[in-house]
Amino acid sequence: MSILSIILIYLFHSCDQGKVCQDELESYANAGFYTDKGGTLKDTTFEEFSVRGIQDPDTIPFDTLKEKQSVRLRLSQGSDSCEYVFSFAVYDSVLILINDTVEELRWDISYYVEDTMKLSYTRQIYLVSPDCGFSHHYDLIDLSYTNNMIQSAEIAISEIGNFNEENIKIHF
Amino acid sequence: MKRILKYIFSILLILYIFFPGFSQEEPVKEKFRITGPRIGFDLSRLSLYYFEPERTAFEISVDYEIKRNYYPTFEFGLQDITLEKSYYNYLSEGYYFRLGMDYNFQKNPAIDQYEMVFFGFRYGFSKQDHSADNIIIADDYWGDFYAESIPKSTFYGHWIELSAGIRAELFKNFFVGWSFRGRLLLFKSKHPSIEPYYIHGFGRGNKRISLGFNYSIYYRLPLIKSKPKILPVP
Repeated sequence: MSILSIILIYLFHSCDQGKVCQDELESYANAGFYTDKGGTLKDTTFEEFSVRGIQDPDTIPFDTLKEKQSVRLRLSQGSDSCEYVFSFAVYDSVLILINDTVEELRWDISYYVEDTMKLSYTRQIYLVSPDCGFSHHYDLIDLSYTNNMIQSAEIAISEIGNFNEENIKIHF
Repeated sequence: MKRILKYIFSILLILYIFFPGFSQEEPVKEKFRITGPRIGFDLSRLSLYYFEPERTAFEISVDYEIKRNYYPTFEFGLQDITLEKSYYNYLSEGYYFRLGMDYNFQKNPAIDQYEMVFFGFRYGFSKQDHSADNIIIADDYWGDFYAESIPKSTFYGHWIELSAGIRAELFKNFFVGWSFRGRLLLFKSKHPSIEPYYIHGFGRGNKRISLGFNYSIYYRLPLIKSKPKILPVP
């Protein structure tokens, strides 16, 4: 009985030990892209496009953004707003000539059009788990943007949480 | 303090391993059934110094045979937690108690036998103050955030639990026993920023169901001697 008790104490403590954090601590606002064709909103796709935080001109795109219909905008843990630069590639046709003969017609990126978007939100710190530590709950309260490529944008779901929910709709 | 408790725990373990024969002692024949409050000390809490050094806990219990095989029980404990993680520190201190009844399934034929094989239930309550500081939220894109401390706040938890175990009389009025516990959290107070790391007396703060194990020694105060006809074997 004595050995059994010691084994049981050991097992109970072992089962109760902390584990490695497996939760995602970063938070993202999900933005979907739309165009207004014939009165119906349809998802649109950009062949090449990037997003970066405006504070970071060296550009760290959030994701691989080729042929994307949406983007995840990473929110800052340390401030109540974030600004992003959306960069859209504009293509031009290029003629490839060899010996004065048109050999190929190719589409190449000619220049980029940029828009900026600012998201404002409230933050509430919370304990994710004892193993992961703290993070924030976010609630979007406002957004503003430039209109070079973006026609309009709106907050669809203000609470940031569900990975699959679209928080912002961006119209082009 | 922790070192002293480690030594005490080690000595108790060694005694328990090498002198199990205590429990084989012949029971003393008595004409009366002795009753009185039985005071217990949970030894399993001492093992925390080895397995979970961030927790310091102490638990005592009192039960009393109110009727043959029925033991109302009160358990009381104190617990401190000092958790130092890479990204935050967490402090908690408070108390808990459990109130309930054990029922002895063992139909002891002799009036002077007190061994128990029991099943019981408890209502549990915990009150603790907890806080967190040195909070860093890692952010490799926008930069790490150094949050303000979360000041001390009071947490309450309520739960019910079922227990089952045994208790043996080592020698006159001294007992040893263990029990398994299954706990269901009924209610806990909410705080927007912090959850208890551990609900004292219950288990992990992020769980609704918890399992537990107690291993205790007891001393019964032999206050009352009852004649067999007053406490007949059921």
